[in-house]
Amino acid sequence: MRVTNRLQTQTFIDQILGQQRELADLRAQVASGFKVAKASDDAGSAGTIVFFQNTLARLDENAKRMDYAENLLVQQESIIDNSSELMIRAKELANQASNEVYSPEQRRALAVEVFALRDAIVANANTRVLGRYIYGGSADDAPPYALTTPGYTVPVDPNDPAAQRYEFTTALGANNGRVARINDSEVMDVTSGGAFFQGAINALERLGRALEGYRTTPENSTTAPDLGGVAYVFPAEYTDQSAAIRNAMDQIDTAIATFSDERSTIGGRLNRIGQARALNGIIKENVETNRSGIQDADLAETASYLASLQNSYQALLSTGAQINRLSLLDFI
Amino acid sequence: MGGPIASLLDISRRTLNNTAQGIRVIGNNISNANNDSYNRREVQLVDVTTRSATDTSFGLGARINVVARKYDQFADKMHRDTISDLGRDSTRTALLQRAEDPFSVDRTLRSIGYEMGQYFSAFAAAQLDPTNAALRSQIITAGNNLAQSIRMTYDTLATLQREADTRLRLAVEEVNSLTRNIAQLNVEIQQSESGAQENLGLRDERERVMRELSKKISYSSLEDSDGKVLVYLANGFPLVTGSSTRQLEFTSSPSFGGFPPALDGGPLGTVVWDADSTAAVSHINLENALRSGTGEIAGLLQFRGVPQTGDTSTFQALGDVVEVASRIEAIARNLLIDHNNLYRPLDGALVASATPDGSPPPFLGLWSVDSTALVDSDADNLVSAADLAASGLSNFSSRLLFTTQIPGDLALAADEDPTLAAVAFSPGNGEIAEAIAEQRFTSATFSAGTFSQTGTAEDIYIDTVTFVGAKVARAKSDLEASRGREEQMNEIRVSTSGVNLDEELAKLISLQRSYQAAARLIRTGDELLQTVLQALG
Repeated sequence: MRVTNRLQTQTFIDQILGQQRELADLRAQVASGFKVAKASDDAGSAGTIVFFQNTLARLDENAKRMDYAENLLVQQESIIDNSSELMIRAKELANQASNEVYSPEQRRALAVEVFALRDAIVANANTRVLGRYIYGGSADDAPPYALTTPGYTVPVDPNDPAAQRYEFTTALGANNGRVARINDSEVMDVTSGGAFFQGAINALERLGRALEGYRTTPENSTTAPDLGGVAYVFPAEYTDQSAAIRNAMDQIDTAIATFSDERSTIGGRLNRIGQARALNGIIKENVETNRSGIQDADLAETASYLASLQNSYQALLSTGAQINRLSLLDFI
Repeated sequence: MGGPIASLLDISRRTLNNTAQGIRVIGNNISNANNDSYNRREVQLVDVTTRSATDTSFGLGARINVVARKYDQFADKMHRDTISDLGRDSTRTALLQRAEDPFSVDRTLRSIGYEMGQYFSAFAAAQLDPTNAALRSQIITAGNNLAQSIRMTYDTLATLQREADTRLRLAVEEVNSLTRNIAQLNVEIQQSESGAQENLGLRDERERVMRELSKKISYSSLEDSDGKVLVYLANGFPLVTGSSTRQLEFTSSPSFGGFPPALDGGPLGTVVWDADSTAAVSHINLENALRSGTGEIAGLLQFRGVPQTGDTSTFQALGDVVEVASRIEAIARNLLIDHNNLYRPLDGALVASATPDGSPPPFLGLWSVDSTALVDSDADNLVSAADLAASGLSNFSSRLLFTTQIPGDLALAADEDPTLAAVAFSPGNGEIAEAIAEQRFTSATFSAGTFSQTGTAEDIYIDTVTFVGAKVARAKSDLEASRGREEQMNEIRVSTSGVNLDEELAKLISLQRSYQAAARLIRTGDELLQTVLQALG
């Protein structure tokens, strides 16, 4: 093919521009650290990269929710442990008082501690975390357990602990458990409804009132107190008092079993979160590795190629200049 | 004076003249060595002949027949075709690369995909603690950012479409100017040429103008016996017929009726020709024919989009930027319809949502637009496609707003009363927040114009990124190929018509020797005559 001067010059310019474009692309890769910074750099991988980025963001969010759920569960674990201990102490007192060696006055002295245990159980049930009542369900802006008005009819003095009655709120949603999404496919219960504390409170109120010297109706029953009940007449009704104490002990055993079940449930949930957290970490590592493999530039390889291209460019400039200098004019 | 000596002198005179003209032509070639539109000249000599067999046999020297251009018509045409391809591909690629910017996979740019993730995450976080003021504020921030990201992305695409539309107007004016130029050159060439000698300068100029025209549009051409060139589009529409032209127009109000508005709500121009030579107007739409061709105009039309007769939506036009914008619009419409309907106000018959104080949100309570035209046209407290259509708005993406700006006004609780007639809410209920967060994993149909796809919101965005990336990558690849073909065809063309300085210098040396030889012949002839005259004495 016949080569003209204009063609030689234009070809030389086109080659220079082509090399410069390639150098500019490589420099951009080295500067950004990405070999895929725009979708057109690798259209097939771009969608995958966005998917991986979204997945990593979701894994981070899952981790935050796991932290939140775990915090709540640890709090609940400690509440239930404490509540169990309180009920065990109550059983000790009941056991002690059920001994018919104790006089009514001696039994009355134990009632003070029993009511203190009752108040502690209520405080546990009304625990707040970050300003919200854990066991309040979706009505968590108010305490789930509160004094009823009126309380027990006997004794008359409303400030007497034996007259005070705590019941679980009837607010809508109060007994709902909270759920948290811990990964893309799993939603986990974080709290149980708070109504399960009522059994323990009922048992302690029956025990406390019995020790204090008051009947609690319906007597010797596992159903909730109906706020009725009059004082025992001693010594004739001493055995009735003993029976009431033994009935309260049975209900305390039931409450302890309930707390034990709840403890197991919480333990299971904590284990589940631990597994989910470990899996989350593994998935995050794998996803990040895959994303990096597709998107990130191998800086050593890119820098090496850049150096090679720069040498090639210098050679192009040098040889192009030499070739374009040759002319018949030099020999005429 | 006749005879051999006289013939010798005559031959020498012709030779001197021929070599002088030849040197002149070489000089012109050398001075135009860097002129890309110049076709190198060459003097074509022929024998001088007469009716006398004796004269012709002994020879009467040579004469210049014509000064011819070294020109390959086929190569020139092929080169023009590659110029057109390059014009289309370079225009379209440059615009597509700018349209790609909002879809970067580099996380330093907060794209729609990133903001969408933040939006769903904010609702998921609030589900755990819906009355938390800080988490509610995060929802509002995320909603505002997502709205802004959608608006900015859409506005970028709309601006690019408008730019392409404006450049189309300019390109049409340039085409008209070039076709007028070709017609004028046709006349000048016809008037100036006589006999076998062509007007090389004017023909070079006409080819240059035709190459310029190739950058703008693809066309075919035919030269008649008078030297005039006919230029016509692929569908046979003539642009230049001898000395006359058909001037194209670019109008936003064609006589055959309007089209849906552009992405920015304004009118799109249409490339037409007025077939009625009187004061009345009868436009013929040329856009589909131009779009399927090559050249800058085809690139602009392929990017900008060409609406078709019967289109009712901005997002039905056939074009790159419209295809991308329709996906963004589909995401915006999904937010307006599906998300608002999860967030619907108190109805009494349906599950509704409420703020912490039990107040229901208004219609368009979560997402709205900066226009009062979007209303509940069927009075069902739900947003529907019919409501969007009834608003008369051409797009929602450029107007999208996150409605609620006060954290306490966010209605994240769902009705907990099991009876249909009554509604009741508890403050810690975050079911609406959970429902909106779940939309991240919920498949829905996203549609706008001719685009319709089923998937989650994140799927739709990922597909959009892949779609845009593939389009731009393909355009870049086409551009590289076009560039290579244009360079190759130019090489072939220029190898015939271009000037090689060394070649011209070699010819110059040869002509110089011929001139010296011819001058020697004259001296020889003169010496012979002097000898005869001395002999006569």
